[in-house]
Amino acid sequence: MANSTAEKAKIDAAPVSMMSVLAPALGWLIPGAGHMIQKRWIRGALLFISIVTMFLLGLAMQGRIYKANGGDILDILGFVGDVGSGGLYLLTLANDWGQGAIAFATADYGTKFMIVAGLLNFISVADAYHIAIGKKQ
Amino acid sequence: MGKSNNANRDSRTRDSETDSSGTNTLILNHFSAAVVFAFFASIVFGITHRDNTRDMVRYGLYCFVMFLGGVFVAGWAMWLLRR
Repeated sequence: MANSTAEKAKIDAAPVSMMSVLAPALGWLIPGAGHMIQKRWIRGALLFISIVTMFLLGLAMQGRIYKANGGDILDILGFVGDVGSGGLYLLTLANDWGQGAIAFATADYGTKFMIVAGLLNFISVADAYHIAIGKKQ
Repeated sequence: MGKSNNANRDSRTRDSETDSSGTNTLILNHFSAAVVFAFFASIVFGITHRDNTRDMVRYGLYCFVMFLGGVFVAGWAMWLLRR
């Protein structure tokens, strides 16, 4: 108990290092890159494959990408989820992909796939940060 | 009746469709979409929620089973509600 408290205090007091900033930022931009830069190659590769595949499947299903908006709360939350995909989101916006197709019922699945890919990348970014500060191996 | 059944079977088995603009669209049924979702989400959960490799694999499998179990439970619950 005392040990874990001391360990927690040590982590809380850890100074901001270059890696603790770089790993999450890079991990957001390219899914899994935050792990790879810390030499967690397999974990990084699996995260990259999982998140990128989910996002691309969403696009292939004609899912809709949310843009920055101040309207409906669900649209705002959709935007927050999509932004998590980082580089994939920016690439999609730049190429004007992800317009959504009402004609296909699966387009709705696609929209959700892309949002979840972004949310999973947020978890991955937090994990990369925890590795960088030594909270996780 | 027969025609309707054929149409349903076609919509379940085709895996892509081309729209008027020539874009090829991936068509997944609800169950296969849930399986794909569960598979990739479980990998990420396993890696990010546990500390060592063995626990990651176990937790990833646990999440996958729970996701699929949830699909079946929800499916049967909806079937019962419909009756």
